Amino acid sequence: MDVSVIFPSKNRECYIKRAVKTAFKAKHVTEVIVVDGGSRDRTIELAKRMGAKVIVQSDLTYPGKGIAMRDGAYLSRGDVLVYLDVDIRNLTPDFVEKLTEPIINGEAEFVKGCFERAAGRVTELVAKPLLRMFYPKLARFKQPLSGEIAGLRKLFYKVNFERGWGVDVGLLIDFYKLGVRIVERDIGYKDHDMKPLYALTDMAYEVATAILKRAVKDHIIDAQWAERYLKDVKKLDFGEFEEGFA
Amino acid sequence: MSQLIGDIALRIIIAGSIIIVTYFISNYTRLSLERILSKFGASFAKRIAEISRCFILLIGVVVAISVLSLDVTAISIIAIIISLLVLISARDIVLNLASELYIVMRRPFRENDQIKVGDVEGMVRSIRALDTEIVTYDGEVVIVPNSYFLKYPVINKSQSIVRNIELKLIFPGRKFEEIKPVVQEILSELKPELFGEPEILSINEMEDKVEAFISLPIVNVRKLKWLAAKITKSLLSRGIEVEIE
Amino acid sequence: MRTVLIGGGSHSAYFAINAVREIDPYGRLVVIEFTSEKVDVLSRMFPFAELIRLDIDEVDSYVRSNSSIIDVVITATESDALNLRYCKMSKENAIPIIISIINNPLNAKIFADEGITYVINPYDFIHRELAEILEADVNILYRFHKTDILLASIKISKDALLHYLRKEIGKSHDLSAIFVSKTGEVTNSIDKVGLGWKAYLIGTRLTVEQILKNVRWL
Repeated sequence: MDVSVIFPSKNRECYIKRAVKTAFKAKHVTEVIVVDGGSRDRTIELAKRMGAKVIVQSDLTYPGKGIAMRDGAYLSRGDVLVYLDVDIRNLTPDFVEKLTEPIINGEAEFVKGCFERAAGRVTELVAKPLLRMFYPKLARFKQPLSGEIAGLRKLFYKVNFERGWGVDVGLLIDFYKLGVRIVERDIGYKDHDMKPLYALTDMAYEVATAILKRAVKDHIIDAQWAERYLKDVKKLDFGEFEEGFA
Repeated sequence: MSQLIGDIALRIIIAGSIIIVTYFISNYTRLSLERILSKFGASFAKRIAEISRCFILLIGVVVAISVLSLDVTAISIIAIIISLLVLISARDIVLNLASELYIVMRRPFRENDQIKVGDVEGMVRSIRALDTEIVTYDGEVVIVPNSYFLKYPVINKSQSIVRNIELKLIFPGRKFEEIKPVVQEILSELKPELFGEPEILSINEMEDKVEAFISLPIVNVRKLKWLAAKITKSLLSRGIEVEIE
Repeated sequence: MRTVLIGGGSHSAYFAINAVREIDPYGRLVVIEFTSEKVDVLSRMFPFAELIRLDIDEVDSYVRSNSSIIDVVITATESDALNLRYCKMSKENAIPIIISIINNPLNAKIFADEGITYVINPYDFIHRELAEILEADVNILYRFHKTDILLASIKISKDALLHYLRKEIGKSHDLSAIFVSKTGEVTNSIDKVGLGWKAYLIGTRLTVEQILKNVRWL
C-alpha cells in the first residue's frame, strides 16, 4: 500500500523542509503533499525544493483547514492518506508509521492519533461534552479533534469536508456513521504550540457547529429529546420553560 | 617551527574562508539563475542553476588548493584528461543537453504542440534534458533524442487547433449517383466529432469503382483511426463496401 | 469536436459550458459530475450535453479509455487540486487541448510549472477592469494565449511620452494603435493626438512589453 502524507500549511517556512524530509523517510511513503493556505514566506518554494507536491488551497477564506485537507485528498495518489501538522517540532517518521500501521495490517480503515500533551481546552470543554450527548460511542476518543489522522483514500472521497476547524470531528462522526473501522493510536509526545485562548473562540464555535449540524441531520436533536434530557439535569431556573418545551 | 605552524594555520584559514565564500556565492548564483531562467521552465532552470553552482564550487576548490600550496598541476592535468574522455565518450549526451538549451530558449515548439521532425509526427508530451516524448497519431510514444532536432527541420503544425485530414474512399463496383448521397449522409453523422464542416473534395466514377476524396477537420489526430472505423461500419450497415486510404 | 468538461456544477463551468456550445454548436459535449443530484440538475439546464456521474477515481479511467477520441478536456471543479490532477492525467494521455479554469489565482504559476498550457484565471479581470475604470497610467488589457500578441493601454500624460510613442509606432512593423481622447474622439493617427489622450496598443508581446517598460521610465 502506498502512503501519501499531507501537510496543510501556511507561513511555515521554518518547519516545512524538515517536515517534508521526515515524512519521506517513513515506510511506504511515496508522496508528500503540501497544501498551502496562501503563504507570504518561502513555504511553497522550500516545499517544492524538498520534492513535495504543492498546491494552494482552492479557497483562502479563514480558517480553511478543511478545504486544505480536501484538496490534499484530491491531489493524492496513495492508497492511504496521512494528515499531519507541519509545525510539530519533534516530528519523526515514527508518527507516520504508527498512524498507518493499523491500516496496512488490516486492523482499521481510519486511525485517529492521540498524543501526550496538556488537555486541549476546546476538546475538553466543547467537543467531548457534545459528543457524549449526541454520539456517546465516540466519547471514548481521548483526542477527537486530533489533526493527526490516517485513512484509506477512497473513504475521504465519500464524505464532505467541513471548511474550517470542525473538519476533524466532522470526519470522525461521518466515518463512524459509515461504519468505518476506527481505532485511536498513541503517537507519543507531540511538541507543538498550543493556540492562545483568544484564538479558540472561532475554533470552539466551528467544532460545536460541526457536531450539532450532524446531530440535527441525524434527528438526534429534536424537541422531545431536549425535554427528556433536561428533565434529567438538576433543576435550574428555566423561568417560562419550567412547564416543558412546546 | 612556530612560524611554520602559524603559516600553515593561516593558509588553512584562508583556504577555508575561500571555500565558505565560494559556497555562498554559488548558492546565491544558483537561486538567481533559477529565478531568471524560470520563464523557460522550472526543471530546466534548476538544472542550469545546479550546473553553474557546481562549476563555481569547483573553481573555489581549485583556488583553495592553490592557497594551500598543494601542487595543482598534476591534479589539473588529470582532471582535464578525465573531462576530455568523458566529453568524447558522452558527446551524444552533451549534444542532447545542448539541444535542450536550443529547444527551451529558441522555442521551435512547446509541450502539447503538434510537430513533424524527420519521420516522426505527433504531439509533444514532454521536453526533458536529454530527450523529448512525442505521442504519434497511432498512440505510440516515441522518445526522440534532443540532438535530432538539430539535425532535422522541425515543422510546427500547431498554429491552429484544427487539422484538415484528407481521406480517399474507394467504392468498388459502385456508381456516382448512389455514392454521393451516402457520403453526404456519413459526413453529417460524423459532424459532432469534427470541428467545422467536413468537405467532399471530389467524387470520381471510374470503370469499376467510385473514388471519393473527403476532408475532415479534426483536433485529435489519433481520432482518425476511430473515424475511419466509424465510416466503414456505417457504410457496411448500408450494404456498401469501402476501402479507406 | 468532443469536449469533456469535468465539474459541471461549478460557477465557472456554467459559463464554460455555454461558451463551448456557442463555439461548437454541433459538437459533442460530455459533462462529468460526481453526485447524482448535480447530474440531475445539470441535465435539465443543459439538455444538449451528455451528463455522466462518475466517482473521483473513475474520471481517470474514463479519460484514459477515451483518450484517442477526446479533443478537449476542460477542468472546472471547485477544487484546484482536482483540476490539477485531471490536467496532469489528461497530459499523460496525450489529450490535444487541456484547459483549466482555476479557483485560486495563486495556483496559476503552479499549473504553468506543471506544463498546463491553458490556464484560465477568472480573477484576472478584476485588476484590468479596475485599472480601466480608474484610469491607470498603464494597463495590460489582454495576453493572447495562442499567439504572442499583447494588448495594452497607456495614458499620454507627458510630451516626452507622446514623442516616444510617435517614434515607436512609426518604426515598428509589428505594432498598431488607436487613440481615444477624453471626449471620446477616436483616431488611428498619432498626429492628431495630444496630452490626455489614451493609446491602445496591440502588437507582439516583446515589442509592447518593451514600450511599457520604457514608458515607466519616462
